[in-house]
Amino acid sequence: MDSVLDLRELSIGYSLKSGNKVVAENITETLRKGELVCLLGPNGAGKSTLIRTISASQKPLLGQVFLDRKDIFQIAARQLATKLSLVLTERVHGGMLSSYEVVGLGRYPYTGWSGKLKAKDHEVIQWAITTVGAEELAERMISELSDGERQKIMVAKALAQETEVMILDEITAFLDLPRRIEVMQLMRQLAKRENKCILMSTHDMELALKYSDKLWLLPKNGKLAIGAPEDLVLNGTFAKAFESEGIHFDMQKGAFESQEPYQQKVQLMGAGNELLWTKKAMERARIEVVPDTTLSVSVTRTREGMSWQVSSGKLNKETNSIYELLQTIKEYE
Amino acid sequence: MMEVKQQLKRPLRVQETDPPKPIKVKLPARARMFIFPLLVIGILILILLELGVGTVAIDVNGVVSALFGLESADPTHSTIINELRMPRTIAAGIGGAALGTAGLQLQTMFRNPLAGPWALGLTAGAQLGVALVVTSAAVVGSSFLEKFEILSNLGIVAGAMLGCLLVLLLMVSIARYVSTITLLILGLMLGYFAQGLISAILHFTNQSQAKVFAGWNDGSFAGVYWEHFPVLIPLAIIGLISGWLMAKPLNAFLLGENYARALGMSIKRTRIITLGSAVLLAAPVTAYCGPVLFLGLIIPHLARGLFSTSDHRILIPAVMLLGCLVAMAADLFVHLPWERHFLHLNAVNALIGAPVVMWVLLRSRKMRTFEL
Repeated sequence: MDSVLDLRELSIGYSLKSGNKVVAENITETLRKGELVCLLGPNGAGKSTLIRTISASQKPLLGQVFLDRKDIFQIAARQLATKLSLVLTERVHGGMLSSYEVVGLGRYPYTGWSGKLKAKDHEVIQWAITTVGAEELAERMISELSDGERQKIMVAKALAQETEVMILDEITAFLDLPRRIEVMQLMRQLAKRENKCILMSTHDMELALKYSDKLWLLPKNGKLAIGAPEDLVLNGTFAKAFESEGIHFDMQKGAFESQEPYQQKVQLMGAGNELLWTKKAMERARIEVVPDTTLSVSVTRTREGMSWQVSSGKLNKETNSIYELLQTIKEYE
Repeated sequence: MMEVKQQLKRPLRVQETDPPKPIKVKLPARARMFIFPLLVIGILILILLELGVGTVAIDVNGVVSALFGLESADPTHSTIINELRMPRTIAAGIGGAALGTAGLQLQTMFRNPLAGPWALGLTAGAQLGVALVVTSAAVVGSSFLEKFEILSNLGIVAGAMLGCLLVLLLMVSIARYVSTITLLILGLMLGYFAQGLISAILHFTNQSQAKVFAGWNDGSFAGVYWEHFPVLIPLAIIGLISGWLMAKPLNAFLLGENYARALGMSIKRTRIITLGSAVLLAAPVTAYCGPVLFLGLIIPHLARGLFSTSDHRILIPAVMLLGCLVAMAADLFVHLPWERHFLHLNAVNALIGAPVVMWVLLRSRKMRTFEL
């Protein structure tokens, strides 16, 4: 199948005077067109080293990376730029260049010595800008954009390179949640519609679980685990990789939870969304919801609004908000 | 897929039936191309003024007839124009263009808005090189060098280039470990250090030579004569052309080294050619005109402000023309028929330059807050 990037028995790391510092070893893996692959791992596990090695910015200690069956380190820089594009975490300053001109720099490997853009180049630039939805940003100076807008432009620049492989290194790091979701959706769309091979490293475990076709999980021990997100969840690799970081992966919820012990117990009654969110509030406040205990809360929705009835042997109180409810339970202690 | 599509605020238009409307981009720089002919006209007017204005005033007719060797030409005027004012004007034009271009190259390569041949200590390196050549000539016996005038001419330029290159290599190697401002302070300190060394060196040379050197050390376009041009002009032309050829890579460099490399640019090649070109431009000008302060630093900012862009394909020709213009204007101001001649070129440069530097410092958040 459309395999583009082949990693063969790759060992990555740094060669120091005192010997090699291996970050990860023995990676054999194929990246295909039309797939969005997310690279996850705790800080310091070597995600950036892996990305740098795959994008030919750093030599591997052992093994090879093949791009279209050619050793990536044998491909001339300019040709490589037409096959593989990069978007990085680093903030671009770019002086007084407009966004349009920055996206235009994506045509760098295609233009002559003077860098003059032809009609075809302008077409590609416009397509790239439209694809990421940055039409309004085109005329603005890159230095005036917000972090999210700037990353959008850098993604458009990578698109303008018209490469089959796109590699993105933690580009969502500075973005707020809606922007992060937007970027993930965009990446997925690009993989599917443009048949691109996309590898992105990220810290967003939950978004990666939701959007990627495949996960690369790089734990601190350097043993890269690969599979569909659900595969890695089911065989426990996912939970294990982050266990050392002091957080617990709740397999049922598909999310990370803190492992603080429960402080109190409560019995909950009610229905609908009120009940669901009251439960969430209890979870957050580390109050365990059990079927039968002395302290009970019943949630009701009336025409006037919602109310929470707290009752136990000595206490009987009605509250009008979850915040108040939590205060009451805490005081009961 | 449907679900994802609905969530998007602006759905992707990649394969939709209606073709996307072309984005109309109005870039300010494109609307400002008319400035180029204005700069050329300005330069032509300044050339006429430079040739005509001075303690001996010569009108336009006189200038034209002297220039073209017409019979009506006044022989005194011809001598003044051809032997004094013409070389000075050419030197100012070339010097301004060269320093402006070198300044732009250094600012982009060091990613430092206040870089320039003088601010980074390149001028000081060149001065020191010249001082060493001049004193060694005095020690070896100036008759040796005087016998081969072209050799002494070349020797001074070679000394300047070597000094300039050594400082540049030093600056390149420390640039990655220090902040933008620290680098500038290091450059200025290097300048003072070189001045100190030069004074010490001059202490050991004879008085007449020291006097000549002190004059040169003030910086002026008036010390350049026809015999210097066979060295100055070819070097400047090579520097300007190689600088211009690097416009495209310099644009990529604005995105930072990593992005530039990922676009297929050779960092090493760009760096060697661009910095080499900066040395070819800054060193010979310093060798013949002495240290000319501020011009290299401020011309790129004036060009960016005028054209409202950082695109080097526009900026490089812009700094050449603007450098030419500003240097001639400063030189003209110095040589106006003042009653007393105390005004130096660098004083005029400082009057224009220092406010520009302060403006850059205060305007840029990065420079203002001293953080990177």
